Amino acid sequence: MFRFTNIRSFVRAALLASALFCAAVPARAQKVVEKQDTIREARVTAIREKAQNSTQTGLTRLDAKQLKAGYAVFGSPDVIKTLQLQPGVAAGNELMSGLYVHGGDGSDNLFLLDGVPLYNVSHFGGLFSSFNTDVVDNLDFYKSGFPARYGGKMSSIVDVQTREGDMREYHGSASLGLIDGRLQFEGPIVTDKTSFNLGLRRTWLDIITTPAIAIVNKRRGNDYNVAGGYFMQDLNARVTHRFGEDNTLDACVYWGKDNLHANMNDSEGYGEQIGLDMGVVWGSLTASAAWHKRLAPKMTSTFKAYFSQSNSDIGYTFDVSFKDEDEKMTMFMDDSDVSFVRDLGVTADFDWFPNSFHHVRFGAQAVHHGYSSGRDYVQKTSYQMLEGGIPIPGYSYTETDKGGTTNGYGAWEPAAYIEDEWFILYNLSVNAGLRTVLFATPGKVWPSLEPRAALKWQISPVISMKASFTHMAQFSHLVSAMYIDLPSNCWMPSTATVRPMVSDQVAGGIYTTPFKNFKLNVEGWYKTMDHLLAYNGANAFYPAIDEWEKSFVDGRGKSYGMEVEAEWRTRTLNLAAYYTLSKSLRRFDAFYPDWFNDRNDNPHKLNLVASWEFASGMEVFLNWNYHSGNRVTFPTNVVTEDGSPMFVYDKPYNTSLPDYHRLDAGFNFHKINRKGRHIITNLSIYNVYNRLNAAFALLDETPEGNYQGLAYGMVPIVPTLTFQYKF
Amino acid sequence: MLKGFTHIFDFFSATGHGNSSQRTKPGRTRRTGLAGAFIGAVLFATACEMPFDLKDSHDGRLYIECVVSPDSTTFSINYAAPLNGRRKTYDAFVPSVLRLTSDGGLNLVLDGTQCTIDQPLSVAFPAPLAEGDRFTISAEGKEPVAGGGYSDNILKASGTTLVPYAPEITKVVTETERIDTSYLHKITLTLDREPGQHDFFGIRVVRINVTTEFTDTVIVKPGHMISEMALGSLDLDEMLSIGFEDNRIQGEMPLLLLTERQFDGRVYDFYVDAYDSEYYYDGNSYGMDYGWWWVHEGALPEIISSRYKVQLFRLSEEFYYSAKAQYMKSLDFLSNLGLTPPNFTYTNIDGGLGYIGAISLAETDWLRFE
Repeated sequence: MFRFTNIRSFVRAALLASALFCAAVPARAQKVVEKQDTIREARVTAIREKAQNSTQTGLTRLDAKQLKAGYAVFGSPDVIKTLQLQPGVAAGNELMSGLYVHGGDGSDNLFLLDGVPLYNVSHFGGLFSSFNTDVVDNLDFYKSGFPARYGGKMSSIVDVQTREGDMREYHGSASLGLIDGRLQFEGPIVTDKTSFNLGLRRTWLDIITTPAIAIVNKRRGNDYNVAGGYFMQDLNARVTHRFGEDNTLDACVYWGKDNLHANMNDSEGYGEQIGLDMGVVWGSLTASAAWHKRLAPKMTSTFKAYFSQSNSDIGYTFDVSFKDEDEKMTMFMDDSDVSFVRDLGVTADFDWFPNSFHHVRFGAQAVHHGYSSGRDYVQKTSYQMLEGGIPIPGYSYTETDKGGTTNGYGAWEPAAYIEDEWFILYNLSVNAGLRTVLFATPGKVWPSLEPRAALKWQISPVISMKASFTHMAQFSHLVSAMYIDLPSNCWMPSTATVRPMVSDQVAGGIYTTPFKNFKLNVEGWYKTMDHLLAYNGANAFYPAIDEWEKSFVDGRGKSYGMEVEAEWRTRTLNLAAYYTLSKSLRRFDAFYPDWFNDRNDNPHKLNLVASWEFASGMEVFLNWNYHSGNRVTFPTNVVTEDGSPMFVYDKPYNTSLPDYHRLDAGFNFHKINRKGRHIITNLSIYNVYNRLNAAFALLDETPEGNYQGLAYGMVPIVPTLTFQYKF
Repeated sequence: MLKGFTHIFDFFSATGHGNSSQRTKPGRTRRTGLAGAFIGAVLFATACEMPFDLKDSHDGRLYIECVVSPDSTTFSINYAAPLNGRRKTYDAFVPSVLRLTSDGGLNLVLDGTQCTIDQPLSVAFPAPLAEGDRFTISAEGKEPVAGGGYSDNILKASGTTLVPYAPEITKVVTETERIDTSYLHKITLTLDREPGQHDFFGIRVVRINVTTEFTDTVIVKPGHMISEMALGSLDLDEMLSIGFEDNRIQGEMPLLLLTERQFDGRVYDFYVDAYDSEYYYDGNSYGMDYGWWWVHEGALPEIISSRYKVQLFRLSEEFYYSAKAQYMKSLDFLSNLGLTPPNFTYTNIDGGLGYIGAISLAETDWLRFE
């Protein structure tokens, strides 16, 4: 850790750092994908100093150790749930994977896995995120000041990098949690040349439920059979090959799948036969090949080709028949809903250090997007009125109702960017960038010119001030009526009538390290969003896909707030407090002709985190999370007419649920067995004091004639024991 | 917990097959209702209730409902008591000044008219309005306070609307289609121009049946006018239907709400299903279900002949949104779960609540199917 005693020493150190930075470029050739301003061996220090010494605002960097630290909900550390604790982020529904950044709508976060966009980032409706922390090396989470090299979404960037496999030794880990198991294995394929890193996850609830259901079926008899289950599984694989000091090839694959299935047959009863067969399969597949090459002593490059697809397939058949002496009825329904979003892209990115005062990044990309959603159904109904078992003429009918539609689009998205981190003076630096994008969709080409700028003024060695401005555009829209990540959601592009969503954000703050080991940052932001989409139909589960452009209304959003981060870190004790004061508003004239609170407008958010290694091999983590309640739409007035009350609303999301708070705790016990293997036992307790936080609420009238809210909480204390065996 | 289950079934009724005027064929809507009810049941079964105070303060407001048409104008004014107050202790509400003005020269002022908290001031009168006229309503009143009496505050509320031009139906085609063993009557309307983003309509059909049982004319209103086969869509937005009687959003007589979405260019077509209707007979409404007929008549009446008339209303934008908000109220349970976007809470009354909207009607001639 460097400490600067005066301005002169700081200048010398800054110049030295710049020189080291440039000199370090050749050494970084073996891993040029690493963050350009991070030296691998000094990463922890660099991360800690990052906020103060770079122009970047709104950036949180987390490494693998931080991601795995603390509690693990249901036994698995979770990337998105870790990010939900960050200031400026609202989590939405409890336990789900909502990420509402600086007033965003949750669909506006760019998730990159090894540089490849990932559309579906959760399993089990949001209970798990798609990122396996066993293979994650680090992630960058941007809430503001987005560098020009990123684009396509407008509220946040989550750039996740997986770890390359060990080039010399084989090792891995096996973990068993409350409802899932994980396996990670890595090692050399050719020593010091080629390595692999493999991560697997699978839930195992279905392994328990299947025999349990079989027992139930057996007890109920042969006329009744029910079966079903759910599992999710995913795989991360990375192969790295070094051709020499200046050439590295990475191949990465992610495959994730969720499978929910159920079927039922029931012939018990009075001539009834019922059959139901339902299956929902959804998931993602990404694959990429990246070539990292040093083009010149001061220039590195990365060329990448990638494929990314998220898809869902929802299908069911329902077959029912009934017959008695008087009538006979049969009904058959078959339904299939299939959707996908698919990207095929190439990118070229260059890093150039012309001198110690400039760090220039530039590049280009070309992506072809494919969007498709199709729904087909058929329903056949027949009815016969019987007399003596014979159909009565004129009292029978047969109906067939079928239909379906598929809506698909192809779109091209070429983009280019350039940005320069310019150290103008010893205490003044600027990051200026420009990104230009064309989004070509049938019948329309949407251009976007996106300036990005950031400024840092180093007031003293321990204090800096920063400001940033970004303009972002988003061309992919989540077609969903809900705030839950379900497979019935799908993605559609901007079209001739649906405009790209755009955001403008200014952010700035003061970043200090007043004492050794202590960091205090205060950052504010103001963000506007235009052309937000909100579903204005009445169907909760299946927005009309054939006319989705007309099913959504255009609106605006704005958000502003302040974040305070205070961290005290020593070798064994880390204490942190994160507070957010914010406001998030929406305006959709079709809903209400003025601004109203966003559903996830949580004015106050406080997160207290403590971790302590109190003895060798024993750690304890505590995390207390508080925020103002999410908002719901309640009647505000009552009109009484003829003795009957009629409830009237003034505006959407007019009522706040009770405040949310919970305490989580985690304990890690490390043990080295006689064979030298590392065994970690993790005890995580979610919601330690068992507060049932409100998930939703209804209006209730008391016997005295007053009205009150009636909140419903669902998630109690959840203890989890996880074993991890490292080999 | 019981309240929770009640809401599930409320929801089920709203989205599946609620009142008979919104009755639909089983299928998509029923599936959605089942899915919603299932999710709701799971949520309520696993949830615990916790009462909390409604901290957000809400004021008492004037509540105005006003529907304007070239033929007549209907309005009602009431007091919308705040929910975080004590509703049952309110005294009578006194609207002190009511003013109605229009481009057509109407300038009506009512002073000192009184209505009670349980009985709004409700007035219907012929209005000499022309299409394109602007109509404004404003009202003031003293607010009743908890425990009796009135505050010195004078509530002010006002709203305005434009009387829309009646739609022009240039062509009507009727045909009968046989689907398996069912016969469906199809009506195709062609308008003079293609509806745009700000065109809103309401539609319903009046049918006169002559049966073997009745000497009087039976007026049939279609409860299910659109077959899902015609929709090509899975959106309940296609099914938005409100009750619209006596120039107010109320009652059972259905009015199906349409936007440009439901039109194919200038053309809108739909089916009239004879087996899923609601009957009006001798001024009474009866659900057309077998049970009623078996009990009261012993057999279904045989229809000798039928005639149909299509009523197509052009709705002002604010009327459409107000009507849609009425429908969407039934879904606030899902909205608060995060399962749908925010509820429509439309009001265009400045300083108050409610709506003022306008309609203009075009009707076809009486139509027959061969």
